[in-house]
Amino acid sequence: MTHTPKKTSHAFTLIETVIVIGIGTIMFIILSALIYNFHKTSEYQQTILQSSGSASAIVKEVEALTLPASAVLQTHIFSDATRTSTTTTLVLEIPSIDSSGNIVPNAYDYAAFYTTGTEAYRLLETHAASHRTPGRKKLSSTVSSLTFSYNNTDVTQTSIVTVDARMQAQAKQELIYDHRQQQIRLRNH
Amino acid sequence: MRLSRGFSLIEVTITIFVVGVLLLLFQAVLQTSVLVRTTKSQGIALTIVRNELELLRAGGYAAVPPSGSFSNSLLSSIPSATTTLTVSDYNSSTKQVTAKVIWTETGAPTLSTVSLSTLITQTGGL
Repeated sequence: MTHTPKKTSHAFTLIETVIVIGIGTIMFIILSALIYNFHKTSEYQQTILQSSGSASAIVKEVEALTLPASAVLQTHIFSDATRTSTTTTLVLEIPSIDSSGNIVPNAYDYAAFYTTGTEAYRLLETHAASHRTPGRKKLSSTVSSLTFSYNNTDVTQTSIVTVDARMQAQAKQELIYDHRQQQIRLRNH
Repeated sequence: MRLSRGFSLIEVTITIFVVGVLLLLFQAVLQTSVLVRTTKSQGIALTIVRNELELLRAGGYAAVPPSGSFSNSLLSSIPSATTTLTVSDYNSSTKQVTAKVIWTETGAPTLSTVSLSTLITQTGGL
């Protein structure tokens, strides 16, 4: 019986097979755990960013329209509904501006901030001479509460509005919270 | 006789490459989570300092407090945050106010800071 080492093609032994299967299984488990965690973490991070971004967006939008506002209105009739300033709705009267930023005399834009379920909206209706872009804009879809407080019991006399936005978003099993609060003084009051 | 040869160069290279890519991915995930948390804290810190400046501007020149710190209910949502308020005389009728929030983000090597500054005049302005 001749035996040439080079041409030997023996089958795998049992121990070799067991080791290969073992290593394969461990690697598969590690890889799938890694991919699962990667996916979970990235979703978690995305939700944090979305939630904190929309919290900032709400505060920024409210600030952008409250600063130039001349008054908080008790009620105003918008095209879709009559809106009343309460702790959850803010109705503003803002002097209209032209394209160069100058106030148009006796012309006003009207803005409302309100929530529907977990969604926060900004509604803006403008005067024909106004340069602002009218429309309804969704600011966030993860709101748990959006409240406004006024420094005067008579809302029409309000000169300082405090906006308080709380977000709650879910990423798989984890809940993510975000809370912002800011005081804004009506510059044209 | 058993043929026992080692791994070939190409096998070792591929293994090192695969392990390296996995480690890189893992490290990228860790780094992003620090970045994401810093971004969130930055947003909150910005709200805090804006609110403080808004308060001081609304209060007027006479009510501007001396340098020190300030408080805000949102500070607890930023890890180990401290605040400083610096008030200096810009000229005889104007004060310069700087509000700053400093915090240490978990996992970040350095301190993070958000700072805003404004002028408050004795008459006019807001």
